Amino acid sequence: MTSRVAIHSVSIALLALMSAQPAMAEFAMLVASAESSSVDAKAADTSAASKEASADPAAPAAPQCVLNGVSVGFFAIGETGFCGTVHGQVMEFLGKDFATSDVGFVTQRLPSLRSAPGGLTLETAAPILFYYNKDVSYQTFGLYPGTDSMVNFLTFRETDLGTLSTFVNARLVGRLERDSYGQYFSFSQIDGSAWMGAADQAWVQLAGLRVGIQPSLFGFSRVGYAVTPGYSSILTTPAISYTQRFDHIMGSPYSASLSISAEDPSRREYADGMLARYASPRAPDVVGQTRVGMPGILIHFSGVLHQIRDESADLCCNAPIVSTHGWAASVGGEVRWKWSQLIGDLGGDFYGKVMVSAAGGQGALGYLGIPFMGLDYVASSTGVIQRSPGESLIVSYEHLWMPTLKSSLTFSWFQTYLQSAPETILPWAPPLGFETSVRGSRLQASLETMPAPGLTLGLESAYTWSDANGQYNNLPAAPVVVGFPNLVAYIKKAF
Amino acid sequence: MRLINLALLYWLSMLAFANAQALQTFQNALFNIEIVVTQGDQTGSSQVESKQNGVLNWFFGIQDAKNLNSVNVNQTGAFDDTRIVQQGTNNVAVNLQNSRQISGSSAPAIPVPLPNYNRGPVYIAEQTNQGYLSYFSSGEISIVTLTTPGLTAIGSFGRSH
Repeated sequence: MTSRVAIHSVSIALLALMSAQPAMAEFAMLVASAESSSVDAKAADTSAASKEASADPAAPAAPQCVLNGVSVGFFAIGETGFCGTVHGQVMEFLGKDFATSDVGFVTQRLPSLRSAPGGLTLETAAPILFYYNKDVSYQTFGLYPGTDSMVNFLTFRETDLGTLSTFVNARLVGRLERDSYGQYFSFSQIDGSAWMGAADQAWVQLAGLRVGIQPSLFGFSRVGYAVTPGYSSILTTPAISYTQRFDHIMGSPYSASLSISAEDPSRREYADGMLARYASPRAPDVVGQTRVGMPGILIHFSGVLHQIRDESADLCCNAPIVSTHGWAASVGGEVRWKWSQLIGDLGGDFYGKVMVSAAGGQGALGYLGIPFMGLDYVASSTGVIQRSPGESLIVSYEHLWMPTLKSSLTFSWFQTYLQSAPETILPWAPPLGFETSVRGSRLQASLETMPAPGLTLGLESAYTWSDANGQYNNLPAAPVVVGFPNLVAYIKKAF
Repeated sequence: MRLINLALLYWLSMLAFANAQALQTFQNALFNIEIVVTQGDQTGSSQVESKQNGVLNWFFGIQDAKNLNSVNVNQTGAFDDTRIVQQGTNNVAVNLQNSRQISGSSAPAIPVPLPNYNRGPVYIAEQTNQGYLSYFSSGEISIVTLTTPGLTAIGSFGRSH
């Protein structure tokens, strides 16, 4: 019976993995666990049928790949005892970015004349940040086609130590981009490698221990229910994680999980190489996560400790490499319901679900899921680290009008704050420093229909606001305020 | 006498050349900073003309061109400070300060023209023959830098489109 529940959970989780939303996977796992009482009851009815199937010499050689007497899409892999399945999705989109200007940031280390034991010395030292209204019309001219397609392969089998599973997801994300030299098709890359960029997930898991490229434990749901990202973090990264599950706590419908992981920090760096530049090697980020699930509800807490080890001050000014830590924390929740259960007949056959996620931190902006409009920290020429605080929030609602038609509304918001320790440019003059705050918000609305099983057509519109403001030596600078709409039409085909 | 005439002719020609090739900057904020660290252009010449119009004006320059170093700083403010170091064969430095001195003077204050506070952030950068020139102006502050490659450290970031 346990294996049946496991298969049931895995099958639901797999569907979520198809859509590359690990939070959905966890939701499915926990909700499946919370609802496993009914599964158990059904399993009891089918156990006899299962035994009959086993006794039938014509039955499949791998009965564990059959759930409740019905195949759920898994196939036996030879005589290995593993079950497997291959799924995928092709999504093609066509978008239009209406932005003509955006907030641009330039960083510089100003030449500074310093008093030294042997006299005055000149070096590029004092950090400064300039923000301005940047023309991006040459990047947003015309439409941009793109793709976000993936194929994945899941295998699993039961062992004496628990379920052994493997998962590989190859994902191709690319779109037409433009710069001052022309246009080109750009695919997501990691360390300059498109192959690494395509390795979205590749992990092995035994019971609760998972090793490989996997979803970070920090994230809850990146995009809300829209197809393009809101301001919330979700990321796959090389990691080692362990999850302990607690099903039906004290006989209640509540289930929970506790997880901890050591994650590659390099995919979370918000650094420009000038005012902030990470030195190697660094300790992995330590991420903790707690999730609580019950029928229709999932609650998420996570936190991370992120090492900052800066070498920008060393490269510019021979300062010692300084190490400190940043941190971030996140809380989120998702609730699903049938409207008729809340407002009676007025609710019809409509379903609704809402998710909320908030994150905050200092010195770890890469965990907030925000655009690259901030730096994790600013290093002074003497190695003093000014960690940048930041917060992000996303609220998303999805309304299911009918099984083949749904719409969503998502609002995202973030803010960051950067500052430098004032530094001397001229020995006889007051030190120069900056303080800059950046805010942004985004409203997205989408409509999605499924004209045929596995085929989805969607349209999403969004409007983005951003502003930057600051001061230099307590003198106010002028703000930059921008806003622009965006449209995306897409077609998805799952297989 | 002929030697003096030749010297004068040479000097005038150098000034004319300087005027023709000078890199000119103008700052009009409450607080103006200009930093010049240059080794000049390919001909070994560096010519800079700077006008700073505000309350607090700083000009800090190091010119190390082997043939000609020319700088003309015109500051109009309440607190003006100019520091120039020139190392070369021919060095010309002119500093006009129309404001009262920072210290040691009881001269009456000269009215300071109001800077344009409504000016939005502007950032312009270009590679000139005398080095990397960046010009930033926002609200009450303006910062200009002209730096040689060895002392130019620039980065950037922002949202992708």
